[in-house]
Amino acid sequence: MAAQAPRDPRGGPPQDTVRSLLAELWRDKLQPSRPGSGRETLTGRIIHGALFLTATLSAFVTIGIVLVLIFETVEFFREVPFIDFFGSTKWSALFAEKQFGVWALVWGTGMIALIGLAVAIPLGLMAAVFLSEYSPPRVRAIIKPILEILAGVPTVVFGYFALVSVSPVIRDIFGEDVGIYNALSAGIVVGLMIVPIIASLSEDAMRAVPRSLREGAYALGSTRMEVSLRVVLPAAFSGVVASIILAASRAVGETMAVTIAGGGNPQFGVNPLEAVQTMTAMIVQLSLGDTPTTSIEFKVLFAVAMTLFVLTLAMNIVAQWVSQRFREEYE
Amino acid sequence: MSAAAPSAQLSAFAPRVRIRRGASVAFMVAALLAIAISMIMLGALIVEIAVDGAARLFTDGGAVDREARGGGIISDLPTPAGMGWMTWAVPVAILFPFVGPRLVNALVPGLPRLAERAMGFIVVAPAAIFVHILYVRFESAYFVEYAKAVGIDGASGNIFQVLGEASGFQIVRLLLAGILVPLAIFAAGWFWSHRMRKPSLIIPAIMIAGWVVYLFMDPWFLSSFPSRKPAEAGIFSAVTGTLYMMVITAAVAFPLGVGAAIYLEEYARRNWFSRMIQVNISNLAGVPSIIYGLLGLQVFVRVLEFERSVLAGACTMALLVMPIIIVSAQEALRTVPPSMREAAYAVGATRWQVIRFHVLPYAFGGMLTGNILAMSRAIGETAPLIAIGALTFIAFLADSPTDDFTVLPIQIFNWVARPQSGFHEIAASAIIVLMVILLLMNAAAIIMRQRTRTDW
Amino acid sequence: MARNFFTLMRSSAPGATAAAEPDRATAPPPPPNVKQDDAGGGVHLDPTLAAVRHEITEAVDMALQLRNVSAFYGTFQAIDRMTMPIPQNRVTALIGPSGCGKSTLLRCFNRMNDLIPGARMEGEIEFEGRNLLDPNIDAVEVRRRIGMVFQKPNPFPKSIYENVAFGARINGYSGDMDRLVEDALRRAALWDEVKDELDKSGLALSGGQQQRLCIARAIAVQPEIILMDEPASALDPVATLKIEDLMRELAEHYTIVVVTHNMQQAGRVSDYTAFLLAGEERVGRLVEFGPTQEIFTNPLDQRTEDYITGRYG
Repeated sequence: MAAQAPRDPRGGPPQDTVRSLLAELWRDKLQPSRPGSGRETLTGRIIHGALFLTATLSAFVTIGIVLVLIFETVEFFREVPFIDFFGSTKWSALFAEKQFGVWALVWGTGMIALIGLAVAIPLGLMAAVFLSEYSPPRVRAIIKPILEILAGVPTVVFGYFALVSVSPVIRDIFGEDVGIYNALSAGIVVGLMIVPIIASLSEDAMRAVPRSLREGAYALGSTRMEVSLRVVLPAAFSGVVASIILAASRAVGETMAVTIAGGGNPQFGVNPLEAVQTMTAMIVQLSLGDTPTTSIEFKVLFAVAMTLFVLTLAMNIVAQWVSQRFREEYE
Repeated sequence: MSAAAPSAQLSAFAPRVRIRRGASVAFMVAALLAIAISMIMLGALIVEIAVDGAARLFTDGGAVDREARGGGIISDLPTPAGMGWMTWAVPVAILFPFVGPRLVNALVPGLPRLAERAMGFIVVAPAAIFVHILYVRFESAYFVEYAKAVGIDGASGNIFQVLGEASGFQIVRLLLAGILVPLAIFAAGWFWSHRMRKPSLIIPAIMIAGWVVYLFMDPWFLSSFPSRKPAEAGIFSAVTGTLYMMVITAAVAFPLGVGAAIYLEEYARRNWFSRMIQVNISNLAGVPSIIYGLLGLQVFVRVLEFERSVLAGACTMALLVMPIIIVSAQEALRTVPPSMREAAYAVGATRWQVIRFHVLPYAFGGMLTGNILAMSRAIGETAPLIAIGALTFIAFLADSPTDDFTVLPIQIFNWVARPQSGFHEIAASAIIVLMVILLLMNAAAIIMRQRTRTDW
Repeated sequence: MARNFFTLMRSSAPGATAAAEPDRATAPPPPPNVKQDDAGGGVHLDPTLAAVRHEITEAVDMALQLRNVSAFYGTFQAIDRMTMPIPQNRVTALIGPSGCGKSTLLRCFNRMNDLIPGARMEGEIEFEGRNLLDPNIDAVEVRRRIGMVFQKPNPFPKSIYENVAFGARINGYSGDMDRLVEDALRRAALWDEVKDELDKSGLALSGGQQQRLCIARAIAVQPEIILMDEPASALDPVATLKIEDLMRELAEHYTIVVVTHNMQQAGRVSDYTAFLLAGEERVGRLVEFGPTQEIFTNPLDQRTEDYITGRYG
């Protein structure tokens, strides 16, 4: 029997009683190792294959997104010339006379993202500096979870907040001419939404700066602010910039709050007190109506989504590149 | 020049320590202010929603004619056709893998494990079906009973009035849904392993607390379907749709995400392929959610012909949250010390045995935590479901995964988007419900994280 | 700066004799615990505190004068009532086994311990007639006047030039910055190696160069005292030698306090040596202080001798 061969290669009885007992217990129980069966058992190989498939699924998701977007986008550009889409700032997809100037939507998106960043960068960075450089551990243990709560609030709730709380305040300040739907209130809540991203990621980058650098600066007679702003912040610069880009990307892709509070008016104006429409809000607007899948409105949905996808993807890649390329290596 | 005495240049220094100290303190105050502003805004958000929405949760809008609606509190609980199956299916599904084989093992010791499991199923499944038949009989009897009963009147219908007027069947049903299900879950945890004994208290406790809150509140809002009149509208279909979708999303996303994480951490070599997958996952996490909606619209709704169903929504959501699950599962796997793997390999375990019996049990708590956090992201997502066309006016309960559905955030969006302030108020009420669910999930995640940390 | 000739070096250790100088009258009154030492005569005094102090024979100013300095981290006491002087323009070495409080003591001198939550210091460190440990003394000002070089080189992730100029900038230096940078780098014996690449990142230098850059950085703010916490422990022998030479040169202009666990290094570079030791309860105490020559050739305490001859771990 094949199993007996490896059991006792020397042929003679084992000297040690324990060993002989073990050998007795294992007699005929050891699985014969089949030559050429490979490193893994059959089950192992099946599981390996299944796990491999789950891992490749994420690649297929990306491919799926790209294919789906490209397919309908190509269809769209068959009917509408390229120049009408990228060469115009007028958007009126739902009217009889259709115009597809995507810049109106990109502008609306950019405006709200800029307002959001104007709110979030000072708040987020200051919060990060405080948490990483000033706050005692106990205070930090309280503030961080609260910021995480802020990050976990669904965006539709922020939309409600913008409409019911922020807009009335803006109307109180700027007068009744301001509409209840305006870019400013949407931008403010988007900013609030991305504060935790900037604060949390920047704080991580700042805490990664070695303590010895801080001590070096303190030993030269720096105050805490000088250490924070002139040593820690520059040393963590790549992480901070990456966090801001990621937050901007989130603001660009943000949908519900800007749909609810931004109004549905695609336009190319500079006044933040007027209603605007972002790319995401437009997609929601077109999705809500029962758009026939063969209509041009349905196809333009994907052309806009493609623009949005490329924009956010580029921002994410830049963020990754910044954090890799400009990271300081300590030891 | 190098020989210059140190004091030669001293006069050039003007340390101005006091000014710099002041600036530093001012800076700290400014930073605190920044945090305070964020917190105040969060506080304002919570207060606004609580003020707007609380009233509607605890009273009806004053416009509901209870007699005309023909119902008391209990009639609005899940019906057998809708959610009733959950009452028995959930505990059975949880119990059978643990109780069944043990039962068989106790009766006929020494069978191979596979046989034990199979026979366990054979033992438990008929029991489950029997329980279900009993349950449905209770339900129908209850309906016959209820038809004769008079609806509850009065300003508020809370538990005491219900118990005062409820029939025996009603009370049985309350007990069944409110106590037996949590108890079954608790029992399952108790039998699972000694480590699960205390944590298995958590979910039943939350469930019982939920029932109690549910029963004390005016149930109209939670148990009514959407309506054109704000005072009569409720979130029953939205809440059940959300729960339904979450269950399917978790069932799809968790195995896929964990599988991918296991592959990347335990199997993949560090080559261009695994690097590409890794970069791809982090990029997927940054794709706007609405684009997942369009993907779901084309792939699940149109190509695979799921229609605008719970299943299509859940699959879309699963893809959306998968990167989160993968990354958190990878982190959990990385916490397993290499020595543990080596020890298992050293006694001759195969790779899968090492993973199955040593790595996974160690990392499971962390994975589960990540899963809950991913679900709490999914529960608040609105945009992808709008894109795939989840409806907002659903006056029935989803009974199978292919039914139309709505979820809480979509219902909220629908109400917020209307001009009448009455709808804004009930939107706030729905937001409270959503936030409470979110809070419970996060609390569960935190507790689980702490438990798994202390256990090991 | 007040001239306080510090000559009293008597302790209650058996075998040591009191050496009262005739000009004692002009010296400041001895610190309280010294009096206690004298009065105690080793009878009712805490024996763990009884440090041997050799006589300082040369006439030298004292840059710092420690009196009963203790340090605590939370409830843990790291060092216990140390009393000793730090002579000016000399290199003083703090030696002792790991965990004896050398670094903690060093970090008291420029109040770096303030940065550690829960850290607390007691006693008195006299510097120019004022107590450094007084909470009313600004730690930021203290740290400019008492510079520090760390165990591992920690240049900022900036250019070499900016590394050196940083301290001067924050301290409001209004003179010629280029000259200051050059001067500091020359004194740190680094100028010739980096003068053509001042824009290069400080992190791009070798370990030894980085450490000399850190010394240049410390010198650039014109401190009176430079504290060095095992400055050569992370360096190779050649770089170590350079740092040691540098320390000897710097001692002409600066008071240097160096922590080292390397006996030979202490012997090579220092003029004075303090031997610290932690007992069972891990509280660091001063055992013996004196001219390095004396400590190494003629230790008065058995434990010092054991340590110097390598009988301690």
